Amino acid sequence: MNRSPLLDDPSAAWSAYDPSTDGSWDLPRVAHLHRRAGFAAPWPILQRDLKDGPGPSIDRLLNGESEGPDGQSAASLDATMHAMATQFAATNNLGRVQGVWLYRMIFTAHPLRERMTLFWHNHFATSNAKVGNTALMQAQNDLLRSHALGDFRIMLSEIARDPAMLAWLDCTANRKAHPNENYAREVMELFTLGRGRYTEADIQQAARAFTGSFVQNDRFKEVASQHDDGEKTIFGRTGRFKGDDVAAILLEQPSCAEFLSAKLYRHFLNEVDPPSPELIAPLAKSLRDADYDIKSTVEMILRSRLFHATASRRRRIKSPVELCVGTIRSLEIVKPTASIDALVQATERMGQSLYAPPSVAGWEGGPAWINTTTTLARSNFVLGLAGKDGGLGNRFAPRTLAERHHASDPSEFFVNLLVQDAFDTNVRGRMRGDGAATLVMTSPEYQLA
Amino acid sequence: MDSSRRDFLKTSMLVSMGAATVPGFLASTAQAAGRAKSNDKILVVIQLLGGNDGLNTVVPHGMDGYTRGRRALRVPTAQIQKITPEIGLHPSMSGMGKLLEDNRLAILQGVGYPNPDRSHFRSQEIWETAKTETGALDTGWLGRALDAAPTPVGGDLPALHVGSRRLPLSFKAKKAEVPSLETLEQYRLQVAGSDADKRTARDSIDAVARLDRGTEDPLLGFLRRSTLAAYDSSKRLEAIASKPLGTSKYPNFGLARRLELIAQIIKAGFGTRIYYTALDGFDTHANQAATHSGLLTELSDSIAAFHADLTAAGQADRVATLSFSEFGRRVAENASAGTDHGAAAPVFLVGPVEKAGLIGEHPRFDDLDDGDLKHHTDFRRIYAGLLDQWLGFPSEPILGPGFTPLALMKSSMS
Repeated sequence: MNRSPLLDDPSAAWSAYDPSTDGSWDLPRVAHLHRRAGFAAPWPILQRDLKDGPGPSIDRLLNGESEGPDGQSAASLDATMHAMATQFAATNNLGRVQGVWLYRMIFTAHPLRERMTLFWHNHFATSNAKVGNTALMQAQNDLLRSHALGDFRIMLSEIARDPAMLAWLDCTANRKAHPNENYAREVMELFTLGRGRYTEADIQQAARAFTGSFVQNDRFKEVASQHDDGEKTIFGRTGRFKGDDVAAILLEQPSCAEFLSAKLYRHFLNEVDPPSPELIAPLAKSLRDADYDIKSTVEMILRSRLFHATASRRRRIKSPVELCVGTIRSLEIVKPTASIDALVQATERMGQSLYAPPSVAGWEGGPAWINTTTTLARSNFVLGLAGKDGGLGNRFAPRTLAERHHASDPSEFFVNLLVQDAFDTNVRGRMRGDGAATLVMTSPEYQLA
Repeated sequence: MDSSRRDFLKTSMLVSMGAATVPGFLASTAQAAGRAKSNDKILVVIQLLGGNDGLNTVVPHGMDGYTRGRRALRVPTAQIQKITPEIGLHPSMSGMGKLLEDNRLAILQGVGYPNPDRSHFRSQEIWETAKTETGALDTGWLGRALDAAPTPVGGDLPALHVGSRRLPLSFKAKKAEVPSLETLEQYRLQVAGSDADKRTARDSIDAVARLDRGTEDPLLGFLRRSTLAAYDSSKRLEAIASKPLGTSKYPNFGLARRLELIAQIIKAGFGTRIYYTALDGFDTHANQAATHSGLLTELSDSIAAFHADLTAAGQADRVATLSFSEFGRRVAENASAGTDHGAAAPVFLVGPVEKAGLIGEHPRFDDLDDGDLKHHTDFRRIYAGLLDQWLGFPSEPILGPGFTPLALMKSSMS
C-alpha cells in the first residue's frame, strides 16, 4: 500500500484538488466521490459527473439534486417519505420504520444528507430496543436530518431535549436532589469531546446544570422547580449554568472541534489508518471558524487533494446499509425496488439494524462489520438480487442494464460501474460471462469503499 | 491426507500469511479466522420460558409436602421414573431418564437466588444478567464473557442464538454482537440453479477470493481471508446438510429442530462455543397436566436426540447442555388445575457431568417462603462453574465476587 505523502503535509492535503495537477478527473475518481459522499451512483450519474468535472459534481452532492433516481422530484419525494415514516412510526412497527429510512436512502435526491443523517444516528446512537417507541425514534431521525449538514450547535442543543435520547439515557426525570450524570457524561464523552478530555468533577457539575429536564407524555418539559440554579464550575468557568450553557462551554473546548473532525475524517476518508493530530488540526480550525457549520467542513473534505488521492480509495469497509443501498442505486433497482422486509432483513443479517445500534457508542464499524455470518449475509444479499424470487430477486437483469447503457461487454460494464480500478489483472480476468456482476459484487474488493 | 489435516494446514497457512503481512490491529483477526480447536468446550443453553413447574418435573412423589400440595396435578407414583425412593422424573421424560442411567445427566435441586421475584420479566432479567440489583440490565452474563474474550473479528462467531425470538438478554454485550440464526440457509451461500450450476457458481465466487493479489493491502487481505473463512464454513455446513433426507433421528419438535441445527454447526467443526435457544410455554396457570407433559416430552426427547447425535459424531464429551427456567411454581396447585409463579426449582445439566443424578437436597416442604420452595444453591454458582471450569473464562469479573464455582462437568481445563 502506498502511503500518500499528503498525510504528512496537512496544508497540501486540505488544499483543493485540481485535475490538471493532481491526477485527472476520471471514472475511478467520480465513483469514489459517490461511494464516500453518497451511496454509490448509477451509470448515467457517473457519466454526467465525469463530463461536468469535480466542481459541479461536488456542488450537487452538497446541495442535493432536483430529482431522485426514479425521476421523482425532490420535494414530492420528501413529502411521500415523511408521510410514510409518520404513518408507520405511529404503528410502533420498527421493521417498517427501518424500511422507510432505507427507501429514503435509495430514492433520495440528496444522498449526502441521508448519509450524514446516518452519521449522526451513529454519533448520537439511540436504540429503540430501550426507547421502545418508534414515533420518538422517527422524531429524533427527523431532527438529525434537519441539521445533518447544518449547525452542530443547534443539533446539540436540540438533542439534549430529544425525548428518545433522554429515554435512552434514563434521563426522563432529572431532579435537583438527584442529578442524573448519564447525559452529562455522554454529552462529553461521546457527543463533543471524547474520552479523557474532561474530569469527573466537570461531569458532576454539568449534571446539575441539566436538572429540571423531564419527559412527560413523550414530550420534553423543563420543570423550573427541579432545576438546580446554583453556581457550577465547569472547565474552569463559574456561573448559574443551564443545560445550553454547558453545551456552549463544551463547544468552546478545542477538543470538541478536533473530536468531530476526526470522526468526519474517519467517516469520509479513512477508518483504518488513524490520522495524526496535525492532519486533523486544519479541519478542526475550519469547523470552529465556521461556528460549527457542518457543511463547510464536509465541503473542505470533499474538495481536498487528500480526498481525491488514489491512496485514499478503499480505506473503509462499507457498512451494511452502504452496501445495501449503494448496490441498489448502482444497479438502478428502483422501479420497483426490493421489498422493505427483504432490505431490513438483509441489513440486519449483515449486522446493522437501523434505530437499534448496539450501544451508546454506536456501531464500531470497520473490520468489526466482518465475520463468517455477516460475510455470507453480504454475499447472499447479492445472490438474492441476482436470483429469480424472494423480496430481492427478479428485479435486476445484468444484460438489460448493460444494453441500456450501450455496453458491448457486460463484464467490463459491471467492473466500471461497481469497482473501477480495484481489481488487479488476475482478478479482472476472472470477471467473465453472465455471472460477472455477481462475481464483482461478491469479491472482497467490493466490500471496500 | 485426511480433511482435518488438510484444513489444519490451510488454517495455519492463513495464519502465517497473516503474521507475515498484517500489521497491528489486523494480526489478531488473522488468527481468529482459523478454526476452533477440536478440544474446545461448548456450552448450549436451553431457557425454559414461563416458569417451569419443577415439582412436576423432578417429582418428590414420596414427600408429604408434595402430595399435600398437589391433588389434581399429582403425578401417580407408579408412573414416575425413580431416581431415589422419594424423587423421580415425570413420565414424559424417558429420554432424560435414559441419560441419567448413562451418567450423562445432573439435576441440581433447589436452585434460585435471594429475594426471588415472581415477575416473569424481572426474574428472567435476573437469570440472564446474573445480577439481582435493579437497573443492571446493560449486559447479560454470556455477553460479559464474550466481551472479556479477545475480539474474534473475521472468524467464526463466538456465540450464536438459535431461534426467531429476540436476542436473549444473556447475550447482550458492550462489544460483542451475537447474531440470531433461524435456519441453516443463512449460513450457506445461496446460489440458484441445478446442483451442477450451484457448484460452478460457488466455485467461481470462491476462486475470486482465493486468487493471489499482486500487492496486497492489509485491509483487502483481511477481507479476503474472512471471505475464504466464510465460504469454507458454508462448504462445511453444505457437506453436512446435503446428507440424504430421512436420516434425521430428531423428533418432530421445534426445540429438536433448533438443537439439530446446533449439532450440525458443531459437527461441521465451527469455532462457535456458546449456543442459546429457548422453549416457551411453561406458564401453566390452568389445566396444566397435558400442556406440561407435552412440553416435558419436547424438552426430554429433543435433548436425548441431540445427545445421541453428538455421541454418534464423537462430539458429546465437548458439549454441556444447561437447561433452566426463571422460576418454579408454588407448591400448592391453584383452583384451575394449574400452578402459579413460585421460586426455587431444579436445573438440568447434560453432558460429561462430574456426578450424575441428583445434586443437593430437595428443598424442604416444612420451611417454605410464603408458600414457595426456598433455594439453597444460587444459580450463579452454576454459571461460575461453567465459566471457570468448562469454558475457561474467569468467572469473578463476569459474575462478581462470592459465587464459588460448582464443579459440575468432567473438565479437562488445564
